[in-house]
Amino acid sequence: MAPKQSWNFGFKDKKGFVFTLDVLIALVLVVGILFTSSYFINKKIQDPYISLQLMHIGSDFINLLDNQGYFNDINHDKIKSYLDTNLPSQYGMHIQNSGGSCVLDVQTDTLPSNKKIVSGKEFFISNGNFCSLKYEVWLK
Amino acid sequence: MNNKGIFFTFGALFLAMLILALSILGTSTLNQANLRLLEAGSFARVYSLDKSLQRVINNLDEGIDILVITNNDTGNSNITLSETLDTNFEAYNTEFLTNIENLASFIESDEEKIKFNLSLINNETEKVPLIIKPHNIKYTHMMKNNENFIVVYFTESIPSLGFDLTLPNSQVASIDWQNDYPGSDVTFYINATGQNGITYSLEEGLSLAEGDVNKFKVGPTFITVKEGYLELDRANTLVQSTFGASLPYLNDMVTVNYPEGLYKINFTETGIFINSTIRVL
Repeated sequence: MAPKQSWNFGFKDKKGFVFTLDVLIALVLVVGILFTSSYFINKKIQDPYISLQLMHIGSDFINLLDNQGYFNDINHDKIKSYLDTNLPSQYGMHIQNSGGSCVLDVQTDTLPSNKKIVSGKEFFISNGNFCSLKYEVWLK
Repeated sequence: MNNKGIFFTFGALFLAMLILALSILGTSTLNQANLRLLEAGSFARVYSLDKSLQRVINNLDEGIDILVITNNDTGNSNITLSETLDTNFEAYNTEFLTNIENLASFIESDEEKIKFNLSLINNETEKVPLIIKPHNIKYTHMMKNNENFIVVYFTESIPSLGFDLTLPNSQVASIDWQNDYPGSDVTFYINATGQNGITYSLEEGLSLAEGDVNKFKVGPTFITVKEGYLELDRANTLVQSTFGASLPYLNDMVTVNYPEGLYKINFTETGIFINSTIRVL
């Protein structure tokens, strides 16, 4: 009777080595998954820092415009000119009225379709009317 | 000898489990950090909204000129609050109070998370109170005998306080001290000027011990000073008044504010709640 063929590819009596190899392959897979997931997690976690910075930039510029009286008598050209001069060149901004009777719509650049846009809301007075605006800021 | 492989296996398995545990821990920590950052974003949005609303309220003219001068060396400050009272209590500061009512109705309709409590600055007995911090002095307008009184409540010791008054022509003939309680707790002053330009001045050290009441008659008006309390009864006369006080340094800069809670912002889904403290100055 012929001895039973075993599928050990010449690793007969080296069961431990095969198990070790198996675990090592699994380990490579786990480490691979770990690195890939940490890459995506890190990519995601970096985003809120940028968002916070964008929000602060937007809020600061609304504050500046309000304190310098640009909203008292709204002139779109003057507001755009102020933003073009003072907003750092790597940022884009869009300001639009969101409530009240004021008309406000100023945009420094075209809204990007593939970039993160951060928005916020603020209140202001224009010619004795109470209004609110929405600002959007993005990195060019 | 033959057990070598199994030891390798368990060793590698242990290493794999260790890496897995560390990766779970790392992921969990990163997720928590991510959540905190998202919370920070929400705080930034609400903070920006709150600051803009404070700016709008600050721009409404409450009809009181406020001046604070601080000595950089000592930190002590002198504060004055000036206004012209030419109406009764009912009609006092109508323009400002109407403006803030309009603002409140606009804000509440535009942003449902914000609710105003205007009764804090306009109710049946009191209008437009201002709180001077960190000394917790309350400068307010009270209805007494259907008149509009300026009343100042104070808890901290104030070295010097008083009024500068400008009254209609010929109404100031003298400053009469009605009671006699001399002391040195506080330096109290009155400068009263008729529109003819003649000024009468008084500066006295007063006792503000419990039960002591110091009363002065200046033309048609009456001033009462007692423990923790100063009151100007203008007797329905057109009076231009400036309340002044010397404030000792209390480890913080002097600010003038509306009462806390004039509006509240409540974003329940993010757990952010703001009980407003609006600075006038």
